[in-house]
Amino acid sequence: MEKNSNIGNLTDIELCLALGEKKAKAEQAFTEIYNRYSNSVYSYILRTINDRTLANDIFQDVFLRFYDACRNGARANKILPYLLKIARNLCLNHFRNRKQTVPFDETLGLLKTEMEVERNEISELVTNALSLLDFNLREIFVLHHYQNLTFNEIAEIIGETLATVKSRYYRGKEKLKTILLPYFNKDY
Amino acid sequence: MDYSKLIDLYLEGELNSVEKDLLFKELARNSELQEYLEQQIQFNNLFQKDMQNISVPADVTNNVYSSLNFKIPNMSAPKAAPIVLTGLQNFASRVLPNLLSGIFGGLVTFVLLWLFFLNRNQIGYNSVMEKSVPVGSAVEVPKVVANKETTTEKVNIEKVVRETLEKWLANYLKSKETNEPQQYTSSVEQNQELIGPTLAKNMPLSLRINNANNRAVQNKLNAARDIGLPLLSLHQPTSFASKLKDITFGVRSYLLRSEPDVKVNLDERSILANTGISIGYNLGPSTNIGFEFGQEKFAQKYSLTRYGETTYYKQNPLLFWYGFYFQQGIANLFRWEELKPIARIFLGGTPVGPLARGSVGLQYTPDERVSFYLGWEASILGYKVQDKIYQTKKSGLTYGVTVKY
Repeated sequence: MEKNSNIGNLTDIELCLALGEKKAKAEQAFTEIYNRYSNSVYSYILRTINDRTLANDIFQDVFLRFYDACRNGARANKILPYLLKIARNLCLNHFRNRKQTVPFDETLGLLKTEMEVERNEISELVTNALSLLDFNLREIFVLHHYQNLTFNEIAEIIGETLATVKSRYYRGKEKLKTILLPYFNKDY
Repeated sequence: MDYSKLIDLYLEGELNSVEKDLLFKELARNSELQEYLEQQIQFNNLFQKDMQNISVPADVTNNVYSSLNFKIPNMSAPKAAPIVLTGLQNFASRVLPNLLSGIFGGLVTFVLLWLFFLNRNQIGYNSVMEKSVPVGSAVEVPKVVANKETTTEKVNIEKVVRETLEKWLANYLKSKETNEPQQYTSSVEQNQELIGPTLAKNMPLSLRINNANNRAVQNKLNAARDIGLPLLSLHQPTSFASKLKDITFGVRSYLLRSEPDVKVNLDERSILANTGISIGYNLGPSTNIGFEFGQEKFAQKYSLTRYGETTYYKQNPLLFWYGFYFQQGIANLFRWEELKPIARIFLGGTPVGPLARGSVGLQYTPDERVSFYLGWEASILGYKVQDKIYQTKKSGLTYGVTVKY
């Protein structure tokens, strides 16, 4: 318990350093990082590429690459932007290699209970709306709304200026509003 | 001034205090702007809700940890709250209702059985058997006599009854040895045959009435047994151990064709799939009621209309089902006593809607404790999607076994 609570108090950079230590310590540090950021990374990938199977593959790849990088001496003051950068590169690779339209998430078709229907309705609505945005607009919107990153942090991750990020964000948001606002009488 | 832009900036936290004042003043008097603000908040909430619904699938986490040769993480670790929460939500939405309904069904069954026992001991004796002597019982007779007759007569009658029953027993054992069918009556005529006309005539009136009642009751019993009807009010009071003998446990399976027929979710499996487990109670030799539960795939095809577009869905979910059944057989219809036709109806539910079943078949009882069943079953499941009712109909073969204590 003592060990775990110590790990829980470590900063991002300390966790990165711990990953380079002996296996037991590295494993604890990895678990802490995973618990802190896995959902954020997963939601970014899922909502950016809109394909669950592919998102699962890319997500696994992100954490494996991150672990390898830290074992080889890489350091990050903030782990989430670092992870998101890896995720973004892998997503871009996928788009460059495949050049195909975004498939509809098949699992959304499997509904069982009314609660799941409602949950899936939101998920489907968001997925479909986001898929209508270009990748450049979509990723900024996802990073801002899902990861709560500031425009400055986003600019750092995607390597663009603050003005570009803001401009893309508002363009994306306007487009999404046009798509989604007609459905807002449904108490989302 | 474009106040909608100010609202956007305000929600992004990019408004200075002067602009904020301007915006709030306008908001206080402009209802359209208030509506716009509400929409923007809904817009932002939509993505927050979506974010809450996203979590890393457990198998993906397992793959990551396996690839690194790490132990699969304990999901109850303090920082794993989102994953744990998702697990709890799944438990609350899927397993818990089934578990609670199972417990509820069990309680209802227990209460029904308990009421049945209570009624049998009280109502049964106050109505049908109010003035009768239980067939074959020597204990109740002196009590009836003692109310009406003298002590001397009581002793004599006790003696007569004891002797009568001893003779009857001896006769019964003898007939059993010679495999003769046992005459199970205790009428005045029977007494005359056993103990002679004088003694029989000397029996007090109450005992004669009782004996006459016994005969009537016995006739009813025989008639009811012949056609296999429930003998609810005619049962004798019994011990708890003998009551257990009427409790049945059943397991059955089925091979049913489905309408609609959907070939998806074929990899979803469970130990209970296509199996029904029941606990029942024998109301009579051919009548059984009880509670049954199990799991089964119910193919579904339905449409959802959203945002003006209709999408057709098909799925084949494995659903937990539960409910009560009533089963009635017809005894002595065939030459072979072990074989009898039975019919069963079932009413219950699933997490998506009500379920009804009906089946007819043959029951083979080689031993009083074990029965095998083979029959044809039809079931119908109703479920609702967007105010539209859909059905899944299934029919086919069912087979199973029932055991008794």
